[in-house]
Amino acid sequence: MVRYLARRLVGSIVLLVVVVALTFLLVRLAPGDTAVTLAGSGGGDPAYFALLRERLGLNQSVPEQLLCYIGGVLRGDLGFSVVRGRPVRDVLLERLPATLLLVGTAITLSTIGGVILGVVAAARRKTWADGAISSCSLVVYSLPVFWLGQVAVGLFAVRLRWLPTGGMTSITASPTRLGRLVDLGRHLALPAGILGLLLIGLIVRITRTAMLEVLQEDYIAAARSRGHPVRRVLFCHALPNAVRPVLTVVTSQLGVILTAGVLVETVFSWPGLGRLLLDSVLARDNPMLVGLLLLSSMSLIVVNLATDLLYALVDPRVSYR
Amino acid sequence: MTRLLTRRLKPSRRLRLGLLLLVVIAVGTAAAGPFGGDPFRPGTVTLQPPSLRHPMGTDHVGRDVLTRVSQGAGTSLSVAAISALAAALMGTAAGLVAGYAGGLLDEILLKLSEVSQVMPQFLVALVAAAVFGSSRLVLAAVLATTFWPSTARLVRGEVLSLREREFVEAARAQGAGGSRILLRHLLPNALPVVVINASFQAGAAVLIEAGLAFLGLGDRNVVSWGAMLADAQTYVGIAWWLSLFPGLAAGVTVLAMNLAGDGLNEAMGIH
Repeated sequence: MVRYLARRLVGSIVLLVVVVALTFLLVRLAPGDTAVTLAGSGGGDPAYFALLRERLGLNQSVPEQLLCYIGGVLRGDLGFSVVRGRPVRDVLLERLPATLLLVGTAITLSTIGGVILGVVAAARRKTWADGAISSCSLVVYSLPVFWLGQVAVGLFAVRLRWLPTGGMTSITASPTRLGRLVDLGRHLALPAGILGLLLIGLIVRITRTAMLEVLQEDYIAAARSRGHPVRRVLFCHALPNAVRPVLTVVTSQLGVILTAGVLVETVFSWPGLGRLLLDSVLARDNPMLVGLLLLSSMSLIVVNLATDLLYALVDPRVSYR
Repeated sequence: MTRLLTRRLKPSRRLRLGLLLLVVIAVGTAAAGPFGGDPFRPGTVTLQPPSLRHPMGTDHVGRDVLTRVSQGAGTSLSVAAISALAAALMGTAAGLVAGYAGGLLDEILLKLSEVSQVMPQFLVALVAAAVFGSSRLVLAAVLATTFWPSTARLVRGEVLSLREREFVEAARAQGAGGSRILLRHLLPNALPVVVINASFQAGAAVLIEAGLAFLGLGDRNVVSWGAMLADAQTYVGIAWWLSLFPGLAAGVTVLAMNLAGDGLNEAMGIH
């Protein structure tokens, strides 16, 4: 177990270093020069440009810069955003809670709903209920998430005026703790609902497939023949064995979820990392871009590692070599 | 090879529906070329709701939405086709060789696919668009680069399970060389997986192209559904047709590709 853990940890760190290098090189290949962007391209004192380049570390060779950056990342230093005049890490940490709240709410809601619907679809295989659930999940999964967001804003916020069009808080909310919470919930409802809808489509599809596989096993027939109620067999006997593929696919699709998060944040002006990503692209804030790509890759690596380790701990069938 | 593909196909409603939708979209796009007007020419009647003259209405500078929607299909389909095809070619070649030869090549391929799994395609494409500019070809190239490792990994898996089977053994016993076994015996059997994966990737490419254009990072020289939706954002609640039709077009296209992939999966009995 300890050897498995050590091997996976080392593998993850190697993976992280490769990702850092690729990301850094991708952004470094960009034509243009941060010093010129900052000082303006209208000419100026060459000595000033030289000073800027030295401050930004641009006069070192690319391999040197890369080594410097990797060393920094391993120490937890993600560089300095010249555009914002602040360390990249500080800005990321400031924006992280909003994104976590949005993505976390969406994942929680959609996992509960998606698993239940998926089990129902598998249990009623080839009936109208299965057909309806399966078709709807495929349709929802295929629609552009930002378009769904736009339609929802048009309907619920502009036409019906039930919910705010965007943002995270409003200044008119009552200043009590409950008032602030209700206000946050009202702002969260639409973006989290839209993001959750996309996820439900994904989770229903996987749960259904996994459940169909498990339901063919002999022990399910045995449990049925002993007279256990159908619902108990479905949720207590079959579902635990279908959870693993569901978890695997959901964690492997975390990239898709993050992507959808970026677009949803943009539609709803949610002040999280997605909005920051777009602003950084427009402002050519390269250190911030590298930091954001890195943060998403890092979270994917950590989540993958954590789920694998969790299986190894919980599921006796998993052998760890 | 086509016989091998069709012989194993069971009839599937999803597959038929998906292919039918794709044909309709393709024909609609092809017809828009000669008959449609200039999608960038402004008109005099702005923000007009759907009517007989403009079945999908006009936008904020009076351009015909139907013309733009059908020409947007060309943008989406070309990005999807180029990236999915290139990824299928690269992935199949790499997967065949790595799976058959094994060794260092195989190790490198596995590491690469691990890397591509932890770098979200959309984010990579977004940064690449910011860095290299947002032309259609650049986007297709970036997508192909991020798509091919997953294809290669699937093909490699197929090759590994097929490599030791009797028919391959028999071919080897008859004196068939490595390249003959790869091309005549392993490739046809690995092909269904490649086709299925390519159709899902094409769907993903359409969504990514639309998403980038929505964020203002699309190719500005061509009409794009994503860019149309970005324009529509300003008129949400005033002009529903600006948002409805491009969004539906993108949704139906992706749905058709996912249906085709799902249907093929079902028809060939692959999990």
